[in-house]
Amino acid sequence: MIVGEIATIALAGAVGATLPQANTASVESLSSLYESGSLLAALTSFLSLDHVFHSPWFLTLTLVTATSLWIVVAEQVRRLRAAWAQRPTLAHFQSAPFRIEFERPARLRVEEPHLKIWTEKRIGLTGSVMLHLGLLLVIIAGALRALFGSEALVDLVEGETLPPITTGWGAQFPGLLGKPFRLEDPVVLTNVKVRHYADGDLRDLRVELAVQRKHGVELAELAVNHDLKAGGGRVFLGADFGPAALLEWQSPNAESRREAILLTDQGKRGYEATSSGPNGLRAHLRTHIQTNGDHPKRMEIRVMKAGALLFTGENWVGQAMVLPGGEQLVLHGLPFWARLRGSHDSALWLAYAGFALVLAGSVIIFTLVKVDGCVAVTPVGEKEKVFLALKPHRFAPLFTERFQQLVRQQNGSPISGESHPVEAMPMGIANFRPASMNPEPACPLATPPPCAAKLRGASICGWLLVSLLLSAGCHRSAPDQARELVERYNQVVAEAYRRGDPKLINSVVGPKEGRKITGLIGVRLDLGLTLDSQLISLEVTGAKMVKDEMHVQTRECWHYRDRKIGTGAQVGEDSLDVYGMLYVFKKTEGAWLVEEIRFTSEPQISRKRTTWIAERVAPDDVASPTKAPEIQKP
Amino acid sequence: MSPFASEAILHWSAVTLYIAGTVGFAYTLIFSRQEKVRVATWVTATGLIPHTAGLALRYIHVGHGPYMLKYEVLSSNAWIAIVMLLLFIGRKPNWAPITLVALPAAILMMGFGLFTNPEARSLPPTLRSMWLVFHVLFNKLAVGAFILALAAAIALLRKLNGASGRWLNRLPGAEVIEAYTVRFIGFGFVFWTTTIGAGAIWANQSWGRYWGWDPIESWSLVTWLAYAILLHARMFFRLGARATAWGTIGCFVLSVLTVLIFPFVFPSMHSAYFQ
Repeated sequence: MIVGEIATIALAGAVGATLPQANTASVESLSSLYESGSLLAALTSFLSLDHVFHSPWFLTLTLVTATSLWIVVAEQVRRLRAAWAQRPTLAHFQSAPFRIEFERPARLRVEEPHLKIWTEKRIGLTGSVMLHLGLLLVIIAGALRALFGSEALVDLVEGETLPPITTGWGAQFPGLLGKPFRLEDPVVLTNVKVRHYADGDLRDLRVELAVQRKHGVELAELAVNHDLKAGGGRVFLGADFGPAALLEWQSPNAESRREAILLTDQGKRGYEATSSGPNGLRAHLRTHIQTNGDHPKRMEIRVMKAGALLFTGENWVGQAMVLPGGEQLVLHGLPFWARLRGSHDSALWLAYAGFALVLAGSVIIFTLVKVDGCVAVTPVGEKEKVFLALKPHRFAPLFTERFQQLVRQQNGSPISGESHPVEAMPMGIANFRPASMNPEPACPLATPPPCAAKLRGASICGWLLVSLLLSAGCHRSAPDQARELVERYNQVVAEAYRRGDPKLINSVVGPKEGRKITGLIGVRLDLGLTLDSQLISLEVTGAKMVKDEMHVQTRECWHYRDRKIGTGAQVGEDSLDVYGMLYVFKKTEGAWLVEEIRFTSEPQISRKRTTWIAERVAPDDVASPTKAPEIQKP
Repeated sequence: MSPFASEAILHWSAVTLYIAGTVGFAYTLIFSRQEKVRVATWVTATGLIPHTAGLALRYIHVGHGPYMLKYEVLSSNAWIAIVMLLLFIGRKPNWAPITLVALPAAILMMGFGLFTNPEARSLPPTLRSMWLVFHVLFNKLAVGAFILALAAAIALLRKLNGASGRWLNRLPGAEVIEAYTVRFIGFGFVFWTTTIGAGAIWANQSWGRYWGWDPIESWSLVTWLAYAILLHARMFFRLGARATAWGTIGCFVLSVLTVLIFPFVFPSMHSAYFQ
């Protein structure tokens, strides 16, 4: 039964490790479980496949397995005690896989029969008990942690104090019966120290803390992989950090508001964030950290309102920018922030003890094998009748050489050591090789096999089910993926045009298309314009995957208007356009990037005049080159 | 000469010697030249010299152990598998036929690594931990033991299928091969257990929790459970020799998927590994 439970847990683990899970996967991939077919959606809903490891059925299974383990351990301990106390007798060797009886010239010159029985590596019997007990301890420790443990995290800015209260933490994850996490003393994050490699990758991150104890301030340092014992638990530092923008929004018709905006890592030491201001204003922030780890001194800021770019520029710390509505945005500072995690787990020692026992148990099982040996010598006239037997607890075939050696010894040397009178002599035993390829369980700890065939059948069925689930979960049709890629591309590029920020497109375009779009955005910026576009409809009319390339054909309807930077006022006519497009995506370092975009039919453009004219040469395969004045597309 | 050029020369020298060793083993077994097994063993062992030098040079060049790139991970896995194989063959020369499975597997692993991008990556701060060293080292030992188990399982299947040949006849009986198969699995199981334990301690040190159901964590547990089932079935439920051999092959495939394939497929905390 326990093996069936292990198999079921393994199966559940395979499913949970394959399908996106609530605690580790993105929202998009989770929602794909419900959108990839009705069967998978129904199974996901019914079996909680998006949070397998926290589902009631998995927890019940774990509980049942723990109960079975408990029974197994109790039974094994009982049998171990019996086996440990047991002293083998001659009868014990009747089922020995290695036994031989032969005569030799008398060497002992004794009148009485001599018997020597010994046991080696008795400690080998404890391996299975230790392993199963360790597993049980790990499960119990996990359950105690889930019930009484607590975790919390907080993002602290340099100079900020973490008060010794539970609400001081940004997020709390207490166990079902656990208390929220808190430290016993206030802690101030005094300094974040960052070091980078020459190529710009993060090399080291550590923070200095001032723990304000009752008897005075105590300085402590926390680093990645170097936690800190603190009253009430332990504090950890992950690799989440970045600059924080200390902003002040000032408005003529509202009170000024100060806030610390945490900029998050966007790769290549670039950090970004967005701040919401009064009257529907939004500020998009970006800065970079130098490889020497110094604090940044200035920041790119783009202020937008209802899709219009009101301000774009780079501001220094202390500088204020005045916006068209009379609002002001002041950058007061750019300190670092870092994410601290708190954890309290009173059963941690139990988990570690469990790990140690599992490891020790498995080492003992495979390296220390209990062996019982027997040498019985009975004088028969001028000769001696010798009975030799070796009974290993497991891996019997590996003891062939050992037994051969024993036999050779007994042909040429006398028996030494303590001897006992013969109680009984087995008859008709003259085997010189293992009695069976699958010797019967030599030890009372071994459980007889009631259901090996069933187990095999169940395993096959299980793997078939996993395969089915895997194929159901992994399968995503090309049009679905194509639509997702095109939508993402359009969303990102439209936002880049709207903000006048070509850096946004790096995650969706290849170098060639990137240069083109950067140029187009730059031209507009030079003219003091941005493009505000909205995708009205999108239809994927074809998708083809060839090796690392995906060709996607679409029919799209867009609404465009040019807006003046600073006021957001519309410049010229707006336009409702319909395009037939071909997107060429290429997989580069695991990401699908747009290599090229082409029109597949003549664009239908509603506006007659534009604010600027882009020279364009139609590609050869465009059905009919357009004469429309402006046809570049976000 | 650039460090990479030196590494490449050393690695290809090692591959050449390993291939020569494999050919040597094949010759001794096909033409019944048992006395030449020592020569083939020494040729293979000589390959370890440039291989070790290549790995050492790599360590000096990138400043960290073989944790991250396919190039370095596969090369070091092959190194450990070959060392374990030679240690075993040194003690049990009549087991030389398994080299015809284990050596090509190691050479293929190494060769595949040599065709991947060797561009050095910096070690992120989360990977700077002594527990990472144990985590990775024992994982490599586990892979080495599982390769030996695989080789023994294939030899066992050949024996059970009644195949005969000079090289097969040199091997011990099917029951002994099976016992060794189980023992190799056992050692791999111990190493895999240590891998998981060291990883759990490291995770607790880094994130304040020793288990987080990360996809690769979960797959490593599934692999551990699969081997546990196989060992239970064999040791306590009298699973037959043939089924044990096929189970060994199946579990090996699963372990390879977990170590070498799944880190690519599933988004995971292990994304810095095996790039």
